[in-house]
Amino acid sequence: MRVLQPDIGLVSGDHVSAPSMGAEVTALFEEYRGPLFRFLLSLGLTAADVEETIQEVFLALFKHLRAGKPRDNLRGWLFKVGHNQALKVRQRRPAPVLEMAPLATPEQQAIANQTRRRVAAVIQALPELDRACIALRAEGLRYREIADVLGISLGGVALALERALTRIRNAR
Amino acid sequence: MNHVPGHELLLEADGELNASRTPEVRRHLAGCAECRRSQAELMETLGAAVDAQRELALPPIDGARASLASGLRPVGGRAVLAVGALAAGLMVLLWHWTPDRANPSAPRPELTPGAVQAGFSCAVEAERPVIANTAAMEVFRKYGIHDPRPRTYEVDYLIPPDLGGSEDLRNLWPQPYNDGIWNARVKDALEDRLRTMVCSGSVDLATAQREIADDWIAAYQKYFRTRRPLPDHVAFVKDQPWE
Repeated sequence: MRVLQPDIGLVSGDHVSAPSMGAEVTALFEEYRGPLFRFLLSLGLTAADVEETIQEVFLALFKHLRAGKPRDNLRGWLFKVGHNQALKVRQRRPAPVLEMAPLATPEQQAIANQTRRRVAAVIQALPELDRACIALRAEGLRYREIADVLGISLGGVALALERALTRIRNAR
Repeated sequence: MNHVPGHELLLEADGELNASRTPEVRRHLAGCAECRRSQAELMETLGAAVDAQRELALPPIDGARASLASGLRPVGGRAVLAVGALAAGLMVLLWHWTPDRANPSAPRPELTPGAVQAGFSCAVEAERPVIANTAAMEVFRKYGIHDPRPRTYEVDYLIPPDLGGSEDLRNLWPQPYNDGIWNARVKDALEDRLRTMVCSGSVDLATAQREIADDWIAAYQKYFRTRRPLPDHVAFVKDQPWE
């Protein structure tokens, strides 16, 4: 007979035990709050609305995971739900106001050169779809994911990016 | 071939152009300085746009994190969040796992680490010896249960004999029959499932033993692909209650 002792790894085994769902949601929040924040700002939400929307997105994520729903592309899921949620928020607001991109610290402000500010200004002046594509591409999403989040075709994403980049280039 | 349109130059540079179009575009690029220059310009502009976008400053995360935490606080007693103290000006959050698996009567590893014996066979249904009353009382004593009510517990094998578990006291624990969702009936269903899997070769015996000993609830969730016990299993009866 062999007794299973924790120190031989049989009791405190190495298989993946059920992860803490709350901890998982928190970890995803840490990772994706920034990307989502920037994307939702690009949709014309105020910073306060963005913050609130992100909260709703992660509470929805918690429910999604708890219900055992698909988790194969949670990043795409977060952006897509964020996008839908943002559209709802905007319906409640009379006129979306695009906030000027907040500048970081005074040091960063000093470093930021004219060109970069111009680029930021042009991005903010882009049509919404083009701006959203730039924002999502900047967060590293694949074109297929961007298409899925925004509900357009993959070709539509590439065309929007081309339009946006042409404008930015011309303004620099 | 005409010059490559801008959106295809982007797709190509980002490695997203479809496979059927890629060779043609690459051939053209190889021989067309103008398209190569256009592509380089697009990507350089994209780099600047990405930089500008990612330089947007965000409000501090602390408040938002705390707010999310309170939003995830107990819903019908399913999620419990412990908020840690402020340390060095940083809020530290500690999560405790309880959703879907609160189980105060789980086997305690220091008392019931599990024990196995040689002679496991798929050919023969393992005997499941009735646990002697003296052994059962010893198990109750170890767990600090002084006056167990009959029929409320199953003194259970942590690793069942069906999976090579032994009668050693270190493999026995008092499992309440009807306490919470993760009760004895649900574990019985897992035991049957694991034996079937071991004997069909889809899980090896040592893994099955370790998983059930380590965290049988996690094993159930893994093998039945569910966070909560399946309805059929809640009423599953295999072992007799302790009387």
